[in-house]
Amino acid sequence: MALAFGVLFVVLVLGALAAPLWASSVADREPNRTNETGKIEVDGKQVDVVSLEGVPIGPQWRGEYFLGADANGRDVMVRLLYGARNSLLIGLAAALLTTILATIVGLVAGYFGRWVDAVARSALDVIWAFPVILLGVALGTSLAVGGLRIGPFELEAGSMAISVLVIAVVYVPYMARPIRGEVLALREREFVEAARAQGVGPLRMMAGELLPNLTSTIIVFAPLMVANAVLLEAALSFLGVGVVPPDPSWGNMIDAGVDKLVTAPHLAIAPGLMLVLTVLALNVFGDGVRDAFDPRSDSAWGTRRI
Amino acid sequence: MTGFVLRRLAQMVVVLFAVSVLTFLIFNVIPNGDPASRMAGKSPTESQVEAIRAEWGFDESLPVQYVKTMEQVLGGSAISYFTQLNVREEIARGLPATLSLAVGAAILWMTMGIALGLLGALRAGRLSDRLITFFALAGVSLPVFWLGALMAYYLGFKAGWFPNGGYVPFTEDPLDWAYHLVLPCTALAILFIGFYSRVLRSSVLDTMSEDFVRTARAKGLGERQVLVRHVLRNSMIPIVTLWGLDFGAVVAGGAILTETVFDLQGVGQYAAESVGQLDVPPVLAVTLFGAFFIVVLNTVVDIVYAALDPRIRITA
Repeated sequence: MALAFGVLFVVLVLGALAAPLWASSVADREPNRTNETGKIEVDGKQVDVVSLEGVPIGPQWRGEYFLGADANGRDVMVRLLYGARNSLLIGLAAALLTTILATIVGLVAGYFGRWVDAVARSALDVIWAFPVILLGVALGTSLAVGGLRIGPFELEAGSMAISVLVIAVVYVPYMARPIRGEVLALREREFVEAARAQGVGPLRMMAGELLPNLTSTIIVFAPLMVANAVLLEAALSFLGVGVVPPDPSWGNMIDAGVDKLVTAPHLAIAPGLMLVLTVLALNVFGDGVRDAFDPRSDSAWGTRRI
Repeated sequence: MTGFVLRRLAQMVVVLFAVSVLTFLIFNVIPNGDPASRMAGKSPTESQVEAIRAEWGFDESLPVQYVKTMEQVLGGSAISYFTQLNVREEIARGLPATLSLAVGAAILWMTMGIALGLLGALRAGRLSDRLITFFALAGVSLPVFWLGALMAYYLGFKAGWFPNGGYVPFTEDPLDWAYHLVLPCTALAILFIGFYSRVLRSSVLDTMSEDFVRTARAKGLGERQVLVRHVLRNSMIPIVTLWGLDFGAVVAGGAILTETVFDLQGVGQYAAESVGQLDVPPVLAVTLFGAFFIVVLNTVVDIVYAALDPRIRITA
């Protein structure tokens, strides 16, 4: 079962990659191109894409407007695929960044111990004290206007890099804690002692001796981290501090669709189903990976609900 | 015991201070650009920004800024420059709705989580166990803002079985209060049930292989007695710890999404609406109060634990 869901995720990624192909050759519409006054042919009759009352056309199940139009006459299927690119790109990048940061923090804290460990642990505890969504929202709101500048690095307000950074930072403690614990246990093992006796320095010890032994933990966490990141990205976009419209993301598409449930339910249902499928695929796949690598642990599972 | 309580309280004070510093950094130091004009909202006037700068101390050194910001928020004088309403009063106004949601959802997710977790453990490996696992995974994969919106629309607005959102104070009409809470509590609980059932399941499986369970069986206790008095009671510890964290997070504004889609007018929705306007003072205040609440609640949970289980006093 886990494998099937893993394949499902790959299919979703391929769909996102194929977005421009669908946009140019099947639907012939750009994701952000509006069409409020246009008409299309349905059963031989000319029909408004968006009616005079502002009701967009529903799914046509063929080429143009495959999944219907939104309130601005944009093609929902095209936006869904382009939204998949943004949502998945942010999710994958954020999970990768979380993994890198958490591994570094966990390694350094666990290996050096003493005050380094104490400082790292309290920093993680403090981030841990905030509800995930609230911390994401707080960072998203504060960075939404001016962006971020740390030394030579500058992230522009509204760029996707901001979302990636926010989501990545929020989840670091959930992964860094177990990695640190693992390093603490590994440090007492003979092979580390042997390496130390040979005069191996801290950097080579961490990268060459400890890191390879952390792979199974990292592999178990990775799919779940992606699932959490995709979910948090959607939530932030839903609240208006993620991907900035008119660029599509599943979260901001659901946000726009919820107000129109009465007249055009497809606007909220389509992106929501994509989101559920993606996260479910990752969670089931991740559960299978955990069974294969580390059947005793349940800790990585569903880290924190938002 | 007193030593433990004092140590734990001292720890709490340190974490509270660190939490306030981090909140301050997030809102006033990390972002690029002028903090005063960010506070002022979307279209501030020059004199407004000047006034904010003086009030929050943005033209002074960072430690002074920190102190002034905390004075503004904790002292209760901070206002939203968008709505001109006092932030602390608004949070207090939303608290009953948020608490009602948290308590209702917590009761639901605890009972269902325990029931399903126990069932899964007793049938480990069989079809029903696998089904529970799959539904648990599906539950944590559902975005609550989407599920909630669909529930409010299809079960509330369209079918007319439940109110289409909104909150009625308990003091006004207890029945209507409960009626309005059914959907939001269910939507929120669905997120947690899967996770809790899963944690309890593995905890029960671990406990069942302990010696004292074999002893209980050996002395002739009925299977039911063994299960309830020995296994379940000892398997509850991880669940109760989690419960402390999650309940705290929901009360602290973590139910932003649920409150918003069901229009509960709670603390979370207040934050969400402020986020939409990029209205910084309310978001800052909710974040700070929220994290404070969680830290205090965790300390209380730890102390209660230590009172119940003497082993914790020594190891912590």
